[in-house]
Amino acid sequence: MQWAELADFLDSGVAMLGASADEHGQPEPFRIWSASVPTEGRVRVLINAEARRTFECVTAGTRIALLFSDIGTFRSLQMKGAATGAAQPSTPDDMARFRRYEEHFGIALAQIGHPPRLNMSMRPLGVFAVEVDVEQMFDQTPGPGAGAEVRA
Amino acid sequence: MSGDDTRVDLRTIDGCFDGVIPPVLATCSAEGEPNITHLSQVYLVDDDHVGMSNQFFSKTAANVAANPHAALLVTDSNTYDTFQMDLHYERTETTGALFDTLKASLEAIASLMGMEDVFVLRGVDVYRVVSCRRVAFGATSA
Repeated sequence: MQWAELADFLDSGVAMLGASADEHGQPEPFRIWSASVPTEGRVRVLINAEARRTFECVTAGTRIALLFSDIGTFRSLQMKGAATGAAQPSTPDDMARFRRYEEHFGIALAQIGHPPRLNMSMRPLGVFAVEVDVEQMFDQTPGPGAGAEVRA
Repeated sequence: MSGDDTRVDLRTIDGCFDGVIPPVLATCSAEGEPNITHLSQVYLVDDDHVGMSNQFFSKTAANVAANPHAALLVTDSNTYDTFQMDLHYERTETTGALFDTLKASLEAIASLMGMEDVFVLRGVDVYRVVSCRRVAFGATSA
């Protein structure tokens, strides 16, 4: 899979989730509300500000897992990598992507029968940005092939 | 609106355990590498424990064997409130009433999704719920 194809996948209204872990090995899952590819091998994500432990612990080198899933086909991709630095405030470009993602994800939810209220409820009230240098990608589509490494 | 740190009574959020909105489980390896996966359904075992079907979560199983800390993100299908639970892995059941109940439920979900050959229950992972807090309010429940 090429990075241009990945960028298209990330812009198609897929469900976006992530996880970090603190120094005690306690993981924290969080919802992501848009992702982009600023350069090949790097992903910029907007994380729900309710992910307090992640906000506090993320710094250069912090391990991050990202999961992107097409909620219609179940095609799923997990990325593993390291944060490039601490949490950043969102930019105007980020917020434009935030709004576009909300629209695309809302369409995807509607296509499988969920009401607009679900999208409204999932939408974070605040976000912070984190950039991740992706080191590995795995196919996580349900089935016996789940876990296979994907090369970009 | 910020999250609610008060411990939530699990029996009051039954819409988190009906499988309508897929939950998300995060685990972490002994080396500190997080992993995240969608689940078909989370089951309320008792006031303090939840169970999850172990189908093909090889990374999840390896992680909790080495590090019992886990965390769950679940959305209540009745209110659309979202909750984050910190969990502690306790055991995996491969026989018994809980296993049989989950096996039947999983088979129903698989049938609806056309994935009968994919969703095969290997065991039920049982976790103790250490904490549960609301991290997003449904559009009508705030």
